Amino acid sequence: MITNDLLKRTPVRLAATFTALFALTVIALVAILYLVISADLASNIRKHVEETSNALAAIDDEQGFDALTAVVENEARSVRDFSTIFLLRRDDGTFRAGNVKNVAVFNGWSVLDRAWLPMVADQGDPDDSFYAIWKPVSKGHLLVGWSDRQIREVRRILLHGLAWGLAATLLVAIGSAVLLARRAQEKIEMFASTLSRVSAGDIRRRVPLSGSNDDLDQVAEQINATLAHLQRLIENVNQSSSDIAHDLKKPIGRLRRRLEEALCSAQTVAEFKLRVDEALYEVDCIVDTFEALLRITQIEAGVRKERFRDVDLASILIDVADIYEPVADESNDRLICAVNGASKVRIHGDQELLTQLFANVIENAIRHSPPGTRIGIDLQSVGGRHRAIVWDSGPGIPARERENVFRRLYRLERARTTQGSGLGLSLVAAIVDLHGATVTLSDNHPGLRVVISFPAIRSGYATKKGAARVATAPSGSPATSSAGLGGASDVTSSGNGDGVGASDNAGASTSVPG
Amino acid sequence: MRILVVEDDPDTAAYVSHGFAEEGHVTEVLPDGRDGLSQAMAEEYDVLIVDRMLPGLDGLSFVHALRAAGHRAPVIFLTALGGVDDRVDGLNAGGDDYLIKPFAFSELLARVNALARRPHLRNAETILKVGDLMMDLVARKVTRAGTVIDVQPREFRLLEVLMRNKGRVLTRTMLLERVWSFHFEPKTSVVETHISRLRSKVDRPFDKELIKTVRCCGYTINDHE
Repeated sequence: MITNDLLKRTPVRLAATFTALFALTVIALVAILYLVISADLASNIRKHVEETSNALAAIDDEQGFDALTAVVENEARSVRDFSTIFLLRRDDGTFRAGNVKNVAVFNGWSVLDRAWLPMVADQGDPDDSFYAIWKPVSKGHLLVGWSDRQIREVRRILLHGLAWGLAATLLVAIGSAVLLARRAQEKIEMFASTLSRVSAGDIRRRVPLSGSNDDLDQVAEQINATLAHLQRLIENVNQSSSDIAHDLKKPIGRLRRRLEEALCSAQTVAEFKLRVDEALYEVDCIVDTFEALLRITQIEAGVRKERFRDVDLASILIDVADIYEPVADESNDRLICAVNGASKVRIHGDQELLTQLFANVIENAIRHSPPGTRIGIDLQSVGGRHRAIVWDSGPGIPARERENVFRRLYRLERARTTQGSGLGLSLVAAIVDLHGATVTLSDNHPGLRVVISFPAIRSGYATKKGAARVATAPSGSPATSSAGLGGASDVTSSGNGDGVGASDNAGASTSVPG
Repeated sequence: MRILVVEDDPDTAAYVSHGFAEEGHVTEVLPDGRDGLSQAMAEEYDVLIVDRMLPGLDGLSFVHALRAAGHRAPVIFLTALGGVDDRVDGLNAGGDDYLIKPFAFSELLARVNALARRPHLRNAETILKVGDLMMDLVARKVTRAGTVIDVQPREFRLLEVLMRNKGRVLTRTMLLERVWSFHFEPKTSVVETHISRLRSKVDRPFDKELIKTVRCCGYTINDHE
């Protein structure tokens, strides 16, 4: 399950990181404002002090020291809030006028602390500092200073604003982080609980989507697709194991019966040999089934893709048609190949497997149709895809059965009497899937139409493998009508994966090359 | 014929050597790949039958080493590794044929016969003859007793494979592989149908049957009675 340690949760960590970054940014901004404004105000104050000092010096120049004394006394008296300091002292260092008693003469600017200034009256703000400068006058020196109150006020306002701003920022950041984290947390916990339920055996469970199509939703979709794939695999395995067991019980039972007959009731050597021969046939059937299963598994593993080359689909179809034309003829069917061999139809694939693919489909048509059936082979290139079509005028496959026939060992009710392993169409689905193609079963009115649609070369046979899906399309939908029919629903299978199963017992191709 | 069987499963080895003994051939069985290789290099054999998975040295390396040393004796892989890729790997390594377990002895025998007496110069021939049946590979023409027989390209190929192996049995599987490049077992009677078509052209209009069915094995062409 998800950790309970808050700090280990990704959204919380993210929120904390962003809050810290945001706070730092605000602090840096305020600090810069603070420095710039302080410097600006200080220079204003100095300018003001200089102006005052110069004006007083002008009085001294024009009207004499006594007039200056009078003005300073007057000014010092009139400064009630002690925001300005004045001190006029004589050359001998004695106090003449002002609101500050005694300060040593210094050169240039100095910032004088109120606490250390001997004021005439103990008034004013004790926190004041004064930007002050001495100016020589006719019979002494004049000190003028201005308090930094303005600067402190601005600083106070800035710090105040910063404090509130930070508090608000943190509040919003933490609030939204918690909110977002909670939402993400809920989804993540949903993932975790779904997955743990799946691993506990509830393989049909899926992660619910919020519909926001955000990254978590996309992850959820991926998880769901994976779960669906796993479900199909698990169902395949379950289905296959029981199907295999079930399917092999019959021939093994027959095998036993033949051997028993040979042992107990055969009177002559000829009769004995006949029974053993029949037993051998049963063994061959069992071996065929296993070999077909192994071959499907091998194809599904995708190893053969390494052997893919550019092959000509048209010539493969013509070859297969050529081989099966007499076979169809033998069972009083008619095989018509409308493929034009003059133009090459190149796809990326495995010649041997493609031959087997079409052989299987055509054998299916021959074996499960009454005499007199017409079987057609065609090839169309539409919109970057090559569609190989095998149709017949036989009994077809009922719409509701179409998605089942790709399942391994599945056989239609009426095909149960025909010899076959029920693996042929599973093999077809596996080969189709390996080639990034799709197979669609539809109604041929009458009969079955199998459309196998291959991506044209370069347009990417690299279609994702395992995108296997058996979809039932509504009748007349573009996919189905392009396959040229309307009627009942069609079934498309790209592959196995899911497509377990078998056909109306396709002729399984068992067997291995020798 | 002298046959070396390199096979570690005693049952299979006994089954094979017993079968060949009945046919009048001499077999030697070695269960280990390394021993088998030194034996194959030391002695002359008509055919080597080699398992793919062997103790000591696996079948592929066995054949690699044998071919690298310049030995040309035909090799048949006999193996439970039945994947298509396994077959291709086996043939690429220098094997001449490939048979999957479980197998029928008649199938192995037919393949051994086809390999052992494979006439290496036959490919240079342009006229194949069986009795009064003649095939001109250059003119792509078939005649019997002077009468031209009209055969389709695929029938021509089937007849050519049969005639090149005159007197030898070709199993259904061998025909499927060599004539139609089918490396799988079809569920319909592909071989039977094509043989029957060929017979209707090559044999039926004439008094003597040349293409013969060998019960539970396959087909052969010869002009014996």
